[in-house]
Order: sequence, then structure tokens, then C-alpha cells
Amino acid sequence: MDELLYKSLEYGLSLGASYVEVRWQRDSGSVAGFRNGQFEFSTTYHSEGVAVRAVAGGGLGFAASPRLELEGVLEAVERAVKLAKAAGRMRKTPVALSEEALARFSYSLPPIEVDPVDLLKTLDEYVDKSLSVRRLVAHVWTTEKRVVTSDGADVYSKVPRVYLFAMLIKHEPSLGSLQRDVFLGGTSQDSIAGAEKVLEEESKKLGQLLERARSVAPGRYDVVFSPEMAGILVHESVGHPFELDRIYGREGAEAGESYIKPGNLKVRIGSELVNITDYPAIPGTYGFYLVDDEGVVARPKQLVRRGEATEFISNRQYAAVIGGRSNAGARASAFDREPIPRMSNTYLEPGDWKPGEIISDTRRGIYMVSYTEWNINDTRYSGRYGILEGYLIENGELKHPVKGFVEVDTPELWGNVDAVGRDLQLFVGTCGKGNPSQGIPVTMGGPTFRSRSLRVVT
Amino acid sequence: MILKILTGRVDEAAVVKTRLLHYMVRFANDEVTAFKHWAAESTFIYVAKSRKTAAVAVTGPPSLEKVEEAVKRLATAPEDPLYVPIGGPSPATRHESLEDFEKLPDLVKAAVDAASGVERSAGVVHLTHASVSYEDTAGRSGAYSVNRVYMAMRSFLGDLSATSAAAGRRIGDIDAARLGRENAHLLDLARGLPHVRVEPARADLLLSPLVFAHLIGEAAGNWASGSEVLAGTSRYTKEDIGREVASQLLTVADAAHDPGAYGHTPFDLEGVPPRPVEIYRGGQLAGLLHTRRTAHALGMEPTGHAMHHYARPWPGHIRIAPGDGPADLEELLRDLRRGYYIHNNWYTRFQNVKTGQFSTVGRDVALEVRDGKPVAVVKYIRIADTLENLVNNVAQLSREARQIYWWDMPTPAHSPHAIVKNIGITT
Repeated sequence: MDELLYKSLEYGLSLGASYVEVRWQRDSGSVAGFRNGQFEFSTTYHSEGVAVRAVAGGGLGFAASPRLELEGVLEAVERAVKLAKAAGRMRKTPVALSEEALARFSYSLPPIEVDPVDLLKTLDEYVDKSLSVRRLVAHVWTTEKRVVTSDGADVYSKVPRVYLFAMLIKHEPSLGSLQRDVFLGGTSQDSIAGAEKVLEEESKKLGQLLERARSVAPGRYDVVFSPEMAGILVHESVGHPFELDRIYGREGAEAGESYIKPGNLKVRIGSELVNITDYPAIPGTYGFYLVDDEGVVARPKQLVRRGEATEFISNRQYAAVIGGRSNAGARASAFDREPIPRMSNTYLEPGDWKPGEIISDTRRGIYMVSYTEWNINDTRYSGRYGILEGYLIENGELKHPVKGFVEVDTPELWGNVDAVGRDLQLFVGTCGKGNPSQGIPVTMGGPTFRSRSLRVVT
Repeated sequence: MILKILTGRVDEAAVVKTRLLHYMVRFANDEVTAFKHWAAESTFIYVAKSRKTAAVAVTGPPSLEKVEEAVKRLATAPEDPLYVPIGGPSPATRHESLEDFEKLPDLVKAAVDAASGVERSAGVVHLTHASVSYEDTAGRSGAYSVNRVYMAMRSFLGDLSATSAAAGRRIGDIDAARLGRENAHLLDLARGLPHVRVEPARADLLLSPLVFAHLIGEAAGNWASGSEVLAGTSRYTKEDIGREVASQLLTVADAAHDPGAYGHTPFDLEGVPPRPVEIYRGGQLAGLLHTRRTAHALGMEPTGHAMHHYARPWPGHIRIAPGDGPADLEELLRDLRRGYYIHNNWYTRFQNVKTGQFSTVGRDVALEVRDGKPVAVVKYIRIADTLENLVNNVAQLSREARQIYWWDMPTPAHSPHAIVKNIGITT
């Protein structure tokens, strides 16, 4: 492998590239599905190949090949350089990369010994059988990567992952219908410990909510968000708009742009209590990595400090655009995908309130525990979050469950935060971006927190 | 070779080999951000023994170890309740040579040059050459190679934007300059109008082909798929076939069999050529999309729609029949009279797939229309309703249908503009 990778670098440089990056990646695993207690499918897969990025003639080229013999890889190098030069002819400014102290490092995590079919058989026993639909999917796989670059990086990693998805629907013609999607997983066997209990509780809860939840009276409420809500809110309204390639328009036609604009990066997005971080190297997490796919060592990215935007998720290309250093945000989901700025584990940092104190301190509000039917516009300014499990708060006490939607603009959501709890938790997600699309493992979370006077509609 | 190894060790086996050559030019701020080429070679092996089934997918040449893995999985797998023996109509044969990918940057230039008056544009041109072969232990075999190409471009003017898209089977099917002109025209319509936001309400909507095809694609994939009917996640059951479930103006068919359609697939993962399937015919539920397995379970005929997964059928290309409404945007706005024009959407999420309660965010220019004329640009509008109301409330379809596809569409489509009455909107 050494010879293959290093010959590829030399060959790319000899063709006139100023930078060459070669990444070997192998993903192998098993995925299975159960439908209402019955086996639906079982598939194993093995995806392996080499990706090459080259900067040449002022442009960036990318090529990938599943062929691992020298001839196949050199052919990919040749194509990457050729495409870079062609791209360069249509650029006003040449592509540049930030200068970095690059890693030469190797790491691996213990394997996850779980069979997806066996896991689903067990888990299905715990799901409430009165549900109309219980659809379960389990995925266990290992990702191995070796990244070498012409300016010195050489990094090998081996990371296993497990992912569980459950779609649970309770449908009662007289009462209506409720759906809960549950996501669990991580990079260690421990990350799915307790999955049975989660599925049991979440599936039973649907019947109770269907019977008891009442439509909320539209209006302004103080909203207390759970750690799960903190996660989706952070991911959508802070993580994505802080991706530097998005700010500079590279995702303009697809994943969108940002409410943060190139001419004004240091914007205030929240109150003094809002601190938001993205940190890949949290052990066991689904978004875990130690070095990114350009060979830059991961560190906490301090996206928001005391309510102000302070740092953005970047790769080397976009770090160079703002004259800074990369903070190791470059990730690729498979051997045939290019590394682009992505989130990892993104969270609102904890404060000093006990979660119960936040509720008892709220006179009229809503405690929003979990969500459904969420979305946000493509600059990540205007969001809508459906209440799946939520309760009315009156004079500091939880009352009956409610249904409705929080519709909120990002500056209002974070600007009105006046209490942040201690109970940090992270939740699993698969984040979409890029063309071709790249679903990448992430977590998102935070503690319980309160934002005052938000608009709630039915 | 793989079939030979498996013969005698399993009851049945099928091997699908795919080679996808992708060429993609991405651009932003009127300049190319990356020119990419990647090849994906995969082998998909299906095995069955004593009514147990398993599958293995491998990129590159499959090793003996991987073939063994498929067999080994059968030992521990539970019986497959949808098992059906391999068989059915024979795979088709079709061969096309790779289109000239070096022409792709020319499309970018043509589109950018035609978008006069806009500040900047971003987008993508994506050419795929797919080569697929199928072989099984029942003696069925076939092979095909096809080209697919789409282009999408989004143009910006201040905080306004417009997106146009086109899809086809050849590079020559893409009129790149038209995309640029259409973006420029829409931005010109919106230029100078006041910006407003809406309160939750019900309104009449003019939906562009991008929006209408997106939402009908969601209905086709989530509600007309045999696996979703079996799982109970569909709004429909088999007994609903023949019942009136939508506007009489609505006729929607899957057209993966059509050689002119982006997504044309001569045969699916089960080696079955896709049949033309009418999903809605004049408002009636006319048919469902099936693999051989889901068809057998529901006592229906296979339709060749194991497009991406052998267990879950999905549409390959939906064709929404046009109506008799005008083709011109301004005339359509006049026909709408009062309501909102939604040009594009994204981030469609369901509160419940079974009831079809969803919301989707308006993207690019959305216009408030009064007396048939645009009077304001609406910021951050959402459509928030049920798919059932959407398909029932179609009041007019334009006479021109466009072939389109872009990043956030569930399925490529031919689609007209649609006027849909009394639909929930919010912000």
C-alpha cells in the first residue's frame, strides 16, 4: 500500500499538480431490516477504493476508482490532474490550500461484535405490539482510511460504527396518528446499551400522547427545550450555517448558503449564555474522529462564544479563503466522495441550571421534549419544529401534553436564551450535504435550555 | 463464475454487476469549484436457500471470501416471509456509448452567459454512464448501458434567487441557455417588489414543475410502493385500487421503461424490465409499484421497480400528464388570480408518512399574487398540509411538461405547472 500511495503522489506532482491527496477507504458491514416483527432484508457490503484530489492549473480536480492496482490508481491521479486543469480555466481566482502542520498518525478502535439480524430480533420484542407500524433497521460497519498528501500527511484510522433506526407509528382512526423516529448509535458497543428500554418507552408513549395531547393555543410562549431539542436546533441553525464553504457559496445550488455572509463573519447570533462547540474526538460518539480527511488533527471548534460567531467549520481550501488555518472539518463519507467541511459532534455547552429549576422558574410556557416534521430554509434562518412530546407549563408545573409547532428565526431562538441547564446529552444523526450526496455520521445535543417568548402555532 | 461457485450450495442465486461512470462539473460564483470523475463498480449477489434469503454488495471485483459471506448468512437468517422463486420476464438488452464528458463545462458557460442581469450563479452538470449486467440460476441474463444527464443552476440577485433544472438522456437534451434565461426572467419579475412574510393560512398556490414533481414524487414513493403498502406506512391499501383518491385532473405514471426518460432502466435488480405503471388515472388510484416479492405478497403482478433496493420498490421516473392550462408563467399567474407562486422547495419532512402530513420550505423566489399579478416577494414561505389535500385539490395543469431533476428531488420527473386550491401555508 505504501508504494501505491506514494507513487501516486509523485506521479501527480510530475504531471504538474501543486498538491496531491490520495485516500484509500474501505467500508464494510451489514445492514438488516425488520417490518412489523418480520424479517425484511439482510445485506452485507464491502466498498473499497481510492480517491484522489489534485490542485493544478488553479483548479481542483477529484477522481476515484474502485481499482486498487497501481495502474488503476495512477489512472485516477491522471484524471484528477486533468480535471483540475480544466476546472482552473473557468476560475477567476486559483484554488489555494491553507498551510498546516499535518499529522503522521495511526489509530483504531475495538470492533463492534453485533449481528444486525440478531439485534433486531431482540429489540423488536420490546416495541409495543399495539403499534400499527414498527419498522427497524440496524447497521454495523467499519470504516478504514489511509490519507497521504504531497505536503506530508500520512494518517491511518479504523473506526467501527453501529446505527439503529426505528420508525414507530400508532394509528387509531378515532384519535389520529403519531409517528416517532428513533436514532441510536455510536463508535462503541456501549453506544447501544439500553436501546431496548428506549424503544419500549418511546413506543408506549405514542399511545398516551395520541389520547391526551391537545392542540396548543397559538401565541407566544417561553419554551423550555430538552437536550434532544437542543441537538436539532444547534445542528440546523448553527452547525450548518457555520460551514465555511456554504458561507462562500460553494453549496449555493444544493445544500444552500448561510445567514452569515462573507463580508460579515463576526455576527452576534445569541445571548451571552449561548456557547456552541463542534468536537470530533469525544470517545464513543457517532461523529468521532481524531484526524480529518486532509490530515489535520481534530480539536474543539468554538463556533459560538457568549453569543458571538467566533469560528467556522472549515477544510483547507476555505481556511485559505479567509487567510486562516483549517480546524479539521474535512470529511468524506466513502472512497468516491470528496472531503468537504462537515459537522462532527455539535452541542450547546452546559450552563449552571438544574433542568427542573428551569421548568419551575417558567410561569407560562411549553416544555418541548421531542420533535417531528422539522425543517429550515436554506440560509438556515427560518426554522419550524413540530412538537411530538411536549407539555404545557403553568406556574412552574408541567400540565397536559400539547401538539403544535415552534416557528422561529435563528437570531430570536438564540437571542432569547436566558437559562441553560447542566444536563448535556448527545443524540445520533446522519447529516446530508454535498453533490453527490454524502450522509455523514454526526451527533448533536446540549442541555435543557429556555428561550423566552417564541411563536407557537397549530 | 460467481454463479458456478454458488451452484449446489444454494437453491438460487442472481448476480448483478454495475459500472457507473460519473462526470460532474460543479460551479459557484460563476466559476467551476470542482470537476469530478468517479467510477463505481459493484457486484450485487442475491442467494436463497430453503426460503431464506440474503444479499451481498461489493465494490470492485468480489473476492471468494465475499461470496462465502453471502452463503454463510443464510445459516443464521430467519425465513423470508416474502420469498418468491427467481423468474419472470427476461432482462432486456440496450447499449449506448459514453457521451462526451468534455462538453460539460460548455453547458456551464452557456447557462451563465444567458443569465443576463443576475449577480452570480451556482450549479451542477452531472453525466452518468451506467453499465449493468444480470445473470441468475434460472438461466435469465441480460445487459444494458445508458447515459443520464441533468443540469441545475441557481442564480442570485441580492437576496433573491431562482433555480432552473433540466434532465435528459443525452447532453444534447439539455438546453443550458434556457436555464440561464429562465432564472434571469424570474429574478426580473421579483426585482423591486416589497418583501413580506405570511401568517398561517390556507391559500391557492401555483406550483412550478420543480415543486409539483417533488411532492408527487413523495406520494409515489411513499404511498404507491408495494413495500410501504405491506408495512402499513402507505395511505393506501390494495383495496383502494380503482377508488377515487385524487383530483380528476391528475394522471401520474411511472415511466422508467421510457427510453427518453432520465432514470430509464431497461431492467431492475431482479432482472425484470419495468412496466409502465399508472399510479393515478384521472384521480383514481390505478396501480402500485412492485418488486417480484411485494407483488407476490399482495397477489399482484411484478412491475420491475426494484430500482435501488431488492426489498423496497421505488419509482424510476414519474410522468405527470399535462393539462390544458397555459405554458407561460405570466399567464399562469393570471389564472391563479390570487394566491402564491412557489418556484422551488426543499427540506420536505413528514410528521407522519401514513397520513402524509408534511411541510416543505419554499426556496428561491416565492411571489404573492393579487389580481393575477405579482405584488410581493414572500420570504420563508412553507407549504404545510397533507399529501392527500395536495393530490385532491389540483385545479389546473399547464399544457407544457418539463423533464427535470435536481439534488433535492426524490425522483426525476416530467411535470407541468399546477394550480392547487386551498393548501396550508405558514412561515
